[in-house]
Amino acid sequence: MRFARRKCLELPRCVDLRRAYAFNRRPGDRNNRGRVGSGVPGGGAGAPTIDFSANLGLQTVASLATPVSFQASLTLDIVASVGIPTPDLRVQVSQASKTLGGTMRAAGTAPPVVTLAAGTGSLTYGSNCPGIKVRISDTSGGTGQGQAKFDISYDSGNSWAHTGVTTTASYSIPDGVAAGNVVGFPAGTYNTDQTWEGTTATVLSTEGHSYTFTQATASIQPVFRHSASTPDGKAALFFAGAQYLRSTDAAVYNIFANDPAFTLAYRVAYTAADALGTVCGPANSGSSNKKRRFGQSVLGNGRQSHSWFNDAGTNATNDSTADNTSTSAVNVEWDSAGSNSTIQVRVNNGSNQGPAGTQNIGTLTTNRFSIGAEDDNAAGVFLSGLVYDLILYSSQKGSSDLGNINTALANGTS
Amino acid sequence: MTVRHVLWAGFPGQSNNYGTNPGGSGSQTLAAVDYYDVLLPSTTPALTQVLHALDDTHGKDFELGKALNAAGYKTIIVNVCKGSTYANDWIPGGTYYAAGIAEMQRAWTLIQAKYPGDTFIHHHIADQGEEDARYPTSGIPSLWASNFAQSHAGLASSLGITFSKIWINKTHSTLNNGTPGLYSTLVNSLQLQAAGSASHFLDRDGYDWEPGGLHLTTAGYIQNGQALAAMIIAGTPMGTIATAKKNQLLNHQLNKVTYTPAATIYAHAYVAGVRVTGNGYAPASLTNNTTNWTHTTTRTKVNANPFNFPGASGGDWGVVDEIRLYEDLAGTDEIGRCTLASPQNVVNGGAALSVLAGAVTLADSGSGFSTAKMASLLNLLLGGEADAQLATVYWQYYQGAQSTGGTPQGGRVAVTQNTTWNDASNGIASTSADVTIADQALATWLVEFDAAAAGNMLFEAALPVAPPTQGKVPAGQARTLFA
Repeated sequence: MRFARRKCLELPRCVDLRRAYAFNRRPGDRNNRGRVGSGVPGGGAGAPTIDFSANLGLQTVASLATPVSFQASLTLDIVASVGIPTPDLRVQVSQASKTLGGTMRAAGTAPPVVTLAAGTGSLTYGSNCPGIKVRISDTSGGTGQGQAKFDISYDSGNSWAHTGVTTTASYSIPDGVAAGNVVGFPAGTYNTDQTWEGTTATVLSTEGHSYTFTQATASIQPVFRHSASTPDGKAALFFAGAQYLRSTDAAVYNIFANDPAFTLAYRVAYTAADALGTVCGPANSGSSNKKRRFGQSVLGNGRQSHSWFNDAGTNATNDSTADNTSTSAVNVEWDSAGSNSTIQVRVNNGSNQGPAGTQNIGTLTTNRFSIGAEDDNAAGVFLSGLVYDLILYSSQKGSSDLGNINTALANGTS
Repeated sequence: MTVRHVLWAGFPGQSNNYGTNPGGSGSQTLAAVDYYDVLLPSTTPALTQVLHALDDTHGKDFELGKALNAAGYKTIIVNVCKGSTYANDWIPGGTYYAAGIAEMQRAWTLIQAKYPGDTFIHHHIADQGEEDARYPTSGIPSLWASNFAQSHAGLASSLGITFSKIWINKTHSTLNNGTPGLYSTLVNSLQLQAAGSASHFLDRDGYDWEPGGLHLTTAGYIQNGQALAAMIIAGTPMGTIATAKKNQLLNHQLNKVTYTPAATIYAHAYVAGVRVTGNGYAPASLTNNTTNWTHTTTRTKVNANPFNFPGASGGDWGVVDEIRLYEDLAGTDEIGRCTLASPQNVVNGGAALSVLAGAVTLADSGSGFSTAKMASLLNLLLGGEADAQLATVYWQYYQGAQSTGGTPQGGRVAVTQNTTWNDASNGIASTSADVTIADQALATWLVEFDAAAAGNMLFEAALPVAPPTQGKVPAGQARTLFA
């Protein structure tokens, strides 16, 4: 038997024979001892081989148990999801209608006032809003208008669409979604540390009502940041302190009237360790005593701790131990059943933290709701950071909804 | 009705699925997974059904079943074991083939009796290979892929099932007391070929092996089971196409009965197998056109717009764990169904249920159908696009697959479709008449075209035995099927 195995290995023709008929009895198996001969069928005389055909017979296509099969393998995959309940207010920056401001936000040494105008286009954009940014890149030919050269970006500086363009009083953007808009470089002194970014004068809410959030004063308008240039990869409003957008729609600010039930959720990233920074809140133009605010607190616990103040100035802060340097985006969800019940906060869908006992959000009349800073008759408390999304309900949502809201904020979905 | 995944560890179950009991019959328990095993030959009791509870004797199958369960897959594992075997022992006529088939058939009978009316997705898992790599004087390393193909086809034919998936555990490259197995490289390459793609071929070389490299340690089997489950989950959607719909598509393709796509596709929500009713429930719908279903040129079809259900009102719907697609509002003409990997709780007054754009995926996971042909059928079913029926097609032998550069053997033979094929049943259509086609000594594939010359390939299939010998493909010996 062992001899037979060796012979089989030594003679490839033997293997060929087995392959040709696709048979399976190896030499020495029961019922298949084989026999030694010379040559193989059709192969002529030659070296000794082992012929197994005597106890195999011929199998044919006709006798096979297995037909020739033309086969497809179809599968169906379905993913269902429950979105979030329709908010009473949502400002999803990436999806919102945005109107850019006429004066670009300047940085650097004594920058001239660079303007942005609609030109032959429009300054109102939707989800395709450009992050228009210019920088002075070359002053070797002089620092004056018509001498200094600039670069222009449509994605807030992540990439530069055109470089080395000569400054001019009226530069019509030649291509991209902002084609036709006009950047105006006035006479002045230009230096290579100067930059300008497009600001946001007006944002319409995205829950379906298109509530207007607006700011007429250019220096108080937040910058619009393109998704390519934010840490979270989503479009955002960038507030650099003392800036805000205001809504005077009663349907918005009345959500906080008379110590109501509510749920407020937002996705933000704090870029500076301000002692306090307001993300949003209702206020009254005539009295700083009527404001409430929700936002940042770094009263010892780090940049990403979060605080709430009621209209009596009572505040509470959650106990996040996040570090004091992170600029990562974070979801913050506040909810209350109203009427002196507990106001809860949770971060990134974690467990409820912060204030215990009962708190009154406030009953004093407000007449506005702002994003980015307090908006009353006194010096405000300002946010330094990015606001990606804001969701507000006039009811307290349960954990299931809060989980879905957290997912929607994180993913930028509905 | 429920979609269940049947994992056939055949052939063979190899010796070492348990880790602590290589080669032994099953005595362990596996929680919540129907587990059928038997040790061959019949020195042990015939088929036993053992409901296993997890304990410290973890093996590959334990971890596999546990991980699939955790992911929501309703799993059945059938494992016919025989230690220290060769792949050619498991092909028709092989030493263990008949006994193995008998046990598999018994298991399949029990499974169908236990879950009447349920839908089954069949997987073939191969563990074999070590012996071929170590002892080529008894095994035949060079024939590993063809041997596996024969055992695979024989198992499918004997059980009357079609496999949707093949998963292969790579034979350890290092055997024979730490030295590379004589034929490990060869067997490994053939295993990859049989698996069809790297995503169906589990590389276990980095796992925890016993000295000598033949068996995994218990820790290694835990790694193996978890990784195998992850591979299966990644490559296995949880849904199926209804058999009646498969039949309709096959009859359309074979020019038996023209399939008319639905004007509207309806999505119904289910909780534990029961369609939601009341509390504001209504199915979601999409007009069946190219606006709502993205035209495809591949083997994958997706929805371009969402199915939006109304919100629950007056009461909760419950946790929706399955979505079924129908061609009628009443929900009787089913296209297919899918268990949700993430069930959704739909509560009174809460957010509404949606199947977002791109969240329905109908796919052919690679087959004998050409990509263009499959894309056309997918566009017909979902999207309502026209798909031309052919009265005559042309068959030709090839050496190697046409799609991978095989060479034609002999000429093309005209085949009149509607007189050559039976009506499809159970997702399978078989030939009703002989197709005379000249023998070709080097033929290994049969290919179908839409023209007598040039034209487009429609299907191709490997011949189960090469070369063919009788100058024809007899009636019943060719079939077209949707697994």
